[in-house]
Amino acid sequence: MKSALPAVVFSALFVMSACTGDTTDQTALIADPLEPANRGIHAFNKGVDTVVLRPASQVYGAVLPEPVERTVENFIGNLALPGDIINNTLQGDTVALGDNLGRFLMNTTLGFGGLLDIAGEAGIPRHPADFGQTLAGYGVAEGPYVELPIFGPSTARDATGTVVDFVLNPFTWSESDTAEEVLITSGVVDAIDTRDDLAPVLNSILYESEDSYSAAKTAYIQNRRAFVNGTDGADDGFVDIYAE
Amino acid sequence: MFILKSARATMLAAAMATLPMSAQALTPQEATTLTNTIVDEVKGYVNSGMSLAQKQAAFRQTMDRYADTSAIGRYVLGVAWRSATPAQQEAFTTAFAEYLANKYGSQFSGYEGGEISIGGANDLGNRGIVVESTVTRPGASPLIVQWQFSDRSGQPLLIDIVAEGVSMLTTERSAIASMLDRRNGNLDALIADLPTAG
Repeated sequence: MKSALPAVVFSALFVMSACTGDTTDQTALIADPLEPANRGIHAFNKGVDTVVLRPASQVYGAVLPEPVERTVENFIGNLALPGDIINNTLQGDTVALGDNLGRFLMNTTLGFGGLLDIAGEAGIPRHPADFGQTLAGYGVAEGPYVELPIFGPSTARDATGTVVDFVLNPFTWSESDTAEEVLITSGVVDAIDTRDDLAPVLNSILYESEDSYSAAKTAYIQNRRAFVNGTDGADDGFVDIYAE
Repeated sequence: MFILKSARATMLAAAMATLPMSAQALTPQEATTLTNTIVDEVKGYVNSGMSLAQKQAAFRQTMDRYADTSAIGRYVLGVAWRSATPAQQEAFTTAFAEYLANKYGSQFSGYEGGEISIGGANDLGNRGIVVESTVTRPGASPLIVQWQFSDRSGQPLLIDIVAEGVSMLTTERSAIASMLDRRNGNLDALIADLPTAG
């Protein structure tokens, strides 16, 4: 995790300085002035997926029994809660803040350090939140599309959010070597677990589309906007196809 | 024989033409029932021992029955549809339906053992009715899937599926635009390649 930080900071700064103007094109889903550079990074990311991430996730999915996978997901989800809680606070989302605080306290104590999702069984849902979403709430524009090395599809706003989330995470600043190792390992396992979870969709995007760069961009932007704007009652995405 | 057949066709056409006038507008309840019907049909072959090719063929039939693939194709091709000849439009519609069935039909393996619960439906006026559903799979986070129906064609038909905010219409409009670009705007080349692409 830590070694990837300079690359992220660099890309974010590069994007921010390169694109101060909003060059949204009316027909495209999102402005992409950095397309040539983005495509280069996409080719690199796709190579990493082909050689490392996809095979690792296939082994992970095949070897781990479902209850173990669930336990791993619980633990990683619990580690992410302090970051969620900080952003819930910044967003003034008291309902999400209450749920996430309750989850963190219950699962860390009664759930053996987050291995069991006691709170989830009690009906307290997790509300993921990140700084990209917080920035959107403050009225910061999405900015152009950017594909980050290793981290994948993003926008100028979300790339900035990724860096800030890393800095804001209390675990990042822990003096303990064990905490640091846990954080790095959980980041790697999280990537493998997510890759396994989304295998049908990601394989289709990366290996069955003629232009995997454009497919990844289209899917990411739609999914991200639904998350940032909230999926409930978000009917902006639906069009009247008989109007044209 | 011929006269009889064409007379019957005329009567059928006349009956079809009056249908949209007399039929009631699509209700959220009807859209929910349609979603259930489609889901049951798809589940029938997703969890069966059919080969991939058989699943894709079965999915093609489901779409022909319940989705307005020609309106979807028209929307997805956008500007290029309007400058195409009627023969090209017809060929594109057929090739696009095949492309959709192959592309989405090949993703079923990831949803074996999955369950879907169908929730409420919202009326979006001219844009039709959207039915909410949640797909749960073992060892994966639940997915929110929305089904958009419209009866503007005269029949209540599926026009879009949106999974976690990702719309099939938007995704395919961008994919097809990119494919057409790569063929320097040559629609005939795109039509020829579509059934085996994606």
